[in-house]
Amino acid sequence: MSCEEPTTSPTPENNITVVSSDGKEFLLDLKLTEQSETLARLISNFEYDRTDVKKDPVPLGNITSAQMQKIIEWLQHHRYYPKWEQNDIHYSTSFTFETWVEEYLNIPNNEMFELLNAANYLNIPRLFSTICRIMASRITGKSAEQIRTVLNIKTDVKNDVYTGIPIQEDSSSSEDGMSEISLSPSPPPI
Amino acid sequence: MSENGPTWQDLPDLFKRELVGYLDFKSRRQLRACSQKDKIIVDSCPLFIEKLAFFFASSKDSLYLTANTKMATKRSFNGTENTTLDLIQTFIHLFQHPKSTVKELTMEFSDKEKSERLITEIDKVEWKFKMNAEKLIWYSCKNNLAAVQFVEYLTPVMLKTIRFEYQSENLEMMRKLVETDQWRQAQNLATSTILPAGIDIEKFSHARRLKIKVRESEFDIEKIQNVISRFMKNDYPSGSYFSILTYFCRNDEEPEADETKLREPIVVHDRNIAVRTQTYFNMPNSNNFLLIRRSDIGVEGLKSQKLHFDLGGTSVSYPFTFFCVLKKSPQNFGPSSEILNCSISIAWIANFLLIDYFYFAPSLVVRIDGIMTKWMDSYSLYQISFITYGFSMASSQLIFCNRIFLIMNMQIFLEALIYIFVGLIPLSTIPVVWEMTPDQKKAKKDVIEHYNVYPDCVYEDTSVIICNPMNNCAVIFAIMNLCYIFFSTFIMFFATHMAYKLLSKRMVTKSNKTKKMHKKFNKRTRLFSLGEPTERFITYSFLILRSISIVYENYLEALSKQVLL
Repeated sequence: MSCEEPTTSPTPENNITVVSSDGKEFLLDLKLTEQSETLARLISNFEYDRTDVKKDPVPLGNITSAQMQKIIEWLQHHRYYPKWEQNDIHYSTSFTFETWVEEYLNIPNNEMFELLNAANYLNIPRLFSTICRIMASRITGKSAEQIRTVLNIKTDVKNDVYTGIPIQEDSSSSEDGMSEISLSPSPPPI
Repeated sequence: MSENGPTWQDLPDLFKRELVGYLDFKSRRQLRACSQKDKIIVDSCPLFIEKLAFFFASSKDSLYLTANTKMATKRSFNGTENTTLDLIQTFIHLFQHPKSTVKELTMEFSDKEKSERLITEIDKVEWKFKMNAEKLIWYSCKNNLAAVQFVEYLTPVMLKTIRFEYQSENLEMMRKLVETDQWRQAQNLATSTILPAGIDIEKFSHARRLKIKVRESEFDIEKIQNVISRFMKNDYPSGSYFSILTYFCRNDEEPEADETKLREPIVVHDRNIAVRTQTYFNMPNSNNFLLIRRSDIGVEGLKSQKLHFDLGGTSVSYPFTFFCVLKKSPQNFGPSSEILNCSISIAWIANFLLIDYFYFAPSLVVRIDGIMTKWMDSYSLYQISFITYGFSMASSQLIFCNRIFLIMNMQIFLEALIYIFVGLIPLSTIPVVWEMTPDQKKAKKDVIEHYNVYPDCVYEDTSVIICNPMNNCAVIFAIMNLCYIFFSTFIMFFATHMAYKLLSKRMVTKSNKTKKMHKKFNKRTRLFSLGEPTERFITYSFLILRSISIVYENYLEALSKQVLL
């Protein structure tokens, strides 16, 4: 068992040790690693799910101990959730989340991006997709300038690549440039 | 976690693309305006638009967009603020990604010059321009070949529906349109305007949902027969339809000749479909049927799924209950038990094995099943069935009375009177049914011609029309049956109740076994006396309700005529 408290009393037979970039060891239940495609593939390749195989610690050079702690918290919460299936995102633009998820991801952008990189590295699709949706919800309905502020983007836009004219920001927050469907000219009867 | 973590620019493109997938159209455009890199990311994500409409008019052009039904974001680009070229550019760039899809695309080509400009601009684009649209609503002015050219840019496999409207008839444009791949592969074709004279109706025969209007002079029976035959041959799924309606145009020549042409019978699979009739066709390879309705102004067909009500269980369980209740009865019936056995055997054999009739409530149609249909016609079997039923019911009721008389001490005269009364009631149904059953050929013709809904077995020889469909006979038939049901149920129930009460007084000295046997028998008999009437009550109530609704409709029609006058 490591200095951290990642799992509920795992026994050496059903867990593996992962080492963060700052050298801290975490004991992970094999059941939890099923949510991470990277770890699940590694366990399968090295046959770490067998009791007679010696399990070496797995180094995770891209993930810090703080990130790992956060990741383990996510894995623990979703331990009994059904396997993640990617829905058709084009029509699932609802931004409603569990209260736990909202609290869990109520963190500054830089921390969110670090967590995203960790989720991407470990290939945890549920976490990756949830961060995408949370970030989308943070910029939906905002003007380009507001998005630049939220995401800390430095603009390099000069001219539109298609028309050659400068890109006009849609002033979405003030509905001036955004007229609702007008019936002028009247469309033909459908 | 660290304070100087990764920035938006450092994030993987995979994440950004997925994020763009969650954004509505408006937010996508805002993100696109943030930086060149974001613009490239947004443009590399396919766009899914619910509704897109582009109107080219001589005064003002408009582009309407509903990105997503859930988000209800509507976007309109108005011609007063943007030039036609701006709108064309915006429209073209919506389809920059090859996977961008529009569910419903409405195009109005009222201005010929602007339509040609759109095609020129599309031809200029560097990538292979293709539009994925599931439904196209297409308006065009006369002689606008650019409008037809535009259709050719749509992906044929994706395009399921074409609804075309044009402000004036145009044969040349229409001929070109029907030759396109998009047209030939579209499953649903519809128009609300009349097709130009000279267009071949057979060019529409590939559609599984077809709705067109033709001139009366263009209502070519032979070609319509081919359209229907192809529709049947393709065996489309349930819900497919065709509707070919005619409209008289003032400039049509020889209207009288067209009138005769319009009334020519359509022959499909050796069956005549006359005007103001409807015909059912069973689909050979599926559980569907095709209903073709011919009216004064055209022909329509709808494919539907057959509904099955398998009442096989009742045809087995009903006679079995009958047998159990009456056969397993106390032995003190004496010689009447022989009559009882005979009655049970006749009823069971006749109603289950030999003649089993299937009533399509609330219609007037009965289908005769059973072994006897191989040797006898259904009309005779229907009559025989009622005769046997009448006799078996009469004998059953006589037995019930007999049971009471065994217990009660009544005068012989009174007993005889009750026997006659109770026996005659079920027997009286025999002449009534005999009299009410109409001439089958005429009755079937009347049902097909005048009824909106009827079971398709009416075309088969095994069906029988139970009473004249053209008068109120059905109501009389149903009321008579209901009266009979209530009466016989009351007799049976009352008789068993009385028998039980009287017997219980006499049973004081009998053994417990005999008492128990009598009690059980009475319970069974009461249950039986309720079972069959309940079934019949439901059936005939349907018939009465339907008749009432017809009478009410006729009343409303008469009332509306009166108001009009």
